[in-house]
Amino acid sequence: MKRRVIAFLLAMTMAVSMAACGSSSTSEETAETQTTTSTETETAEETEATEETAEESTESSEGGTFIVPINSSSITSLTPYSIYGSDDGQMAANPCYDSLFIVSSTGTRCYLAESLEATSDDGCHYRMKLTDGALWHDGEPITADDVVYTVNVLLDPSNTGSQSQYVVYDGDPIASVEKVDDLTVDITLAKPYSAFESEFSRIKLLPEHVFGGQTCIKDMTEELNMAIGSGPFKLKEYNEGESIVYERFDDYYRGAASLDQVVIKMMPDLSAQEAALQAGEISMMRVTSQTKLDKYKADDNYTVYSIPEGRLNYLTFNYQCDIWKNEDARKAVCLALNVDEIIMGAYGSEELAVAATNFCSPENLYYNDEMEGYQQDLEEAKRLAEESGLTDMTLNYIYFSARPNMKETAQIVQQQLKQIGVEVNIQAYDTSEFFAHLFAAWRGGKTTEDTSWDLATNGMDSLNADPATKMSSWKGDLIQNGFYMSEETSALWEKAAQSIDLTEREELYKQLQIQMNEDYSLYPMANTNYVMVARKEFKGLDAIEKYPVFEDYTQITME
Amino acid sequence: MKKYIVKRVIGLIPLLLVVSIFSFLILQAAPGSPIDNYMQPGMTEDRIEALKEEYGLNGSIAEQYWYWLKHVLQGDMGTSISKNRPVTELIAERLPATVSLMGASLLISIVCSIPLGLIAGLHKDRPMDKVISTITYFGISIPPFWIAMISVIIFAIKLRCFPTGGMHSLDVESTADTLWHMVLPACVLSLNHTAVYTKYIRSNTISQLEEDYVVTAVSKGTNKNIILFCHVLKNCLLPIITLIGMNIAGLVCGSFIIENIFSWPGIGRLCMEAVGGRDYPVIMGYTMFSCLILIVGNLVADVLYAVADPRIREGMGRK
Repeated sequence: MKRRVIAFLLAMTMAVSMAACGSSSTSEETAETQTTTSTETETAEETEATEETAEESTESSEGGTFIVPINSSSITSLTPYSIYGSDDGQMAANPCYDSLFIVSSTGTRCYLAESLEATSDDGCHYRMKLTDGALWHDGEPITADDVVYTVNVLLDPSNTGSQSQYVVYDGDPIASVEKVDDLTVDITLAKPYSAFESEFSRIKLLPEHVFGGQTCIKDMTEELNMAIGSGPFKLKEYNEGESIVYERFDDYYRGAASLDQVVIKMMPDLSAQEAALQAGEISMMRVTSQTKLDKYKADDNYTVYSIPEGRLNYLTFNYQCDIWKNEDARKAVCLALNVDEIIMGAYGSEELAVAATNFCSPENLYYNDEMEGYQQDLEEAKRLAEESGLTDMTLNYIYFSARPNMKETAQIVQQQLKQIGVEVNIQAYDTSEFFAHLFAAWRGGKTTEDTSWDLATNGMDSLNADPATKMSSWKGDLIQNGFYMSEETSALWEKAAQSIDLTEREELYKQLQIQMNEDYSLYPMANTNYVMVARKEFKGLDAIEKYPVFEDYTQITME
Repeated sequence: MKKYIVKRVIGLIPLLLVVSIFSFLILQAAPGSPIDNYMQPGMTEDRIEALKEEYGLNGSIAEQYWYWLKHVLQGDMGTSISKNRPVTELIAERLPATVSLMGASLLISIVCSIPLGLIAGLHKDRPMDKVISTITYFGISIPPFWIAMISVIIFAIKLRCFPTGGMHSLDVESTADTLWHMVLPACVLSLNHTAVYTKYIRSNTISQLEEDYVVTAVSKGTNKNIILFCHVLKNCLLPIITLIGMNIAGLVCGSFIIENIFSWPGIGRLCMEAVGGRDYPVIMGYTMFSCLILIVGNLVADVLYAVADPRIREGMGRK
């Protein structure tokens, strides 16, 4: 009997102790194991911690706390270059790191750089002056040495597997960056490149003194997570998998921000984001459906902002499939589709996306706003489809399942192509699988034969403003195995990218946009808007219409 | 008993090997590669080969597996390709969050299911039993993600009693705050377990109440509560030990869905992210870790079962 009692007690003790151990020591264990990088002031604040909700702390802060959700579950590291091209990575780094300056179709906005001027007529020599008085978050001045150092980090392929496109132009790395004085650098390019300014300007500097001048920084976890940046907010704490807390940097060279804190919350579940917004635990979120947009527009507690995302969503052809080598087949698809129906059906209204007319978006420099795009002509499309043999086959259409509005787009395309007698099978893929198929022509440094798909929808951004860098999507021997670009277009693009005369460059790019449409290389679908809903007490979210949000946190205020 | 435990531990080795081989093969069969994240147009084949070599992805599948196994045998689970940090460090970092959440949910399940199961068994086929049975059916059949969303809407958005997610409030670092954040996810997670345990305890209670020793105790005039809590309950809980043993794996491996919905920074979210990025070392580390815990959990349950039940112990001795 005694043994049975002991057995029972043992079993219960095991269960209870496991659970109790987990719950009672949670906070201590978590605090110990979470990667937390803090400033000295944090310790004092921690001891004064009170049990208040995120909402309450938002209300009680003098300048307010602005909480931004991102879709990632975690951040690779706290540098602006940890996830190249990742919108979430950039959104997480924006409060902490400033760009040199930003070139956009609406003008140039200066941050760490005061000016960038050509010093010769050959389009290869430039002089850049840094803004005087800018400081790193540890109080050290930002100098020309940091510019030279950052360029060397970006050129070091051991960091990300390849040299960054910020400093490599049409295949050629930047020739040299030399310090002239503490605030001036001279830059030399291997050849003229129209996108140099818009690419180079986006560099977010790294502090040379923190990394000890070492250009291979990928293993310097401690230094990377110190996140000594140049932006209006400095790192307060980093909770792996949960949040990054930034606090105002009072010595910011452009004047201290109004907000007290900016918090980046990692929330991969979109419904969790929405619940948190409604509970006041986050300050804003993105919406991608008309239903939600209408819901929040009708609610006085929120303000809806819509800014152009600078993104083109497009339909592309797999050039590894013989059918698309016939221009009539590509033309048949382009003439069968009705872009307005796609916008209204997949996005819901022009607030979320507008019909695209060519491979550029209106946020690109040299955008040709006189073009009308493809006009639907079902009779002609049907004739071409029959002649090219499209009607005798079933096309496989792939899309990236996590990207908003792609599923609806695929369904509408399927219906529209059915009108000309073309059958389409739709297949959704996750990130890795989708891009493994889409870029089979060049991924792995060689062309992998892949005719499993015929059509795909994808998107490309216009962060770089100048269309030259879009060349990388079509130009190149390997890429040409999978995507179509005519010889005329290729030559035109080359000429435009190297043109020094601005008027000529603009004319060439506008011609290029027409030529790409005449080639039927791709079907431009939508120029999307970044529509966000914010709690009404926050203002200035659209002061700068730039994606990924937010370029300048000093513009955001809480009333 | 010792012999039995040693035998079982030795038996784990081939099992772990088989699981690791299957997991590795499944990963290799999935399209995409971890280094896809680094790919840019214009990268040379040499550069890509160098990258593959750096991450141990350049050999045949057998060579890659051997490379991985060799490091594991030396206690090195590898380095995350996307985060460039040791896998063991990443798992250890997320483990406390998951163990605390899952532990709390298990505790809630045990505490709730024992009285519910006993009451239902004691009042077999009476209204009380029917009410409890109906509740348990709901608990078993309603998907946790649905309950999670409903509970967030009611308790976090409408009533504002609890936060919608996360583990800490901003600028607050206290156990009470963590527990407050844990209430909703732990309760949601415990629902299913509570329902299952309740059903087990109910059916065991019914069968135990028909046993001779209970009839004897009743005829001797023993107090009903003493019969129930001192005699019947002990025997009812034996199968629960096995169930808890099996649930230990869940305790440390987390719940992908609940951790996502409640933005809980646990191990489940780490794995989901690794799967999306084809971060092989993290996925393999997670798989092996969960497999090991599942096996150890079962072993512990078996041993405890033997400790609690002399018939099993005698059976082991005969073997």
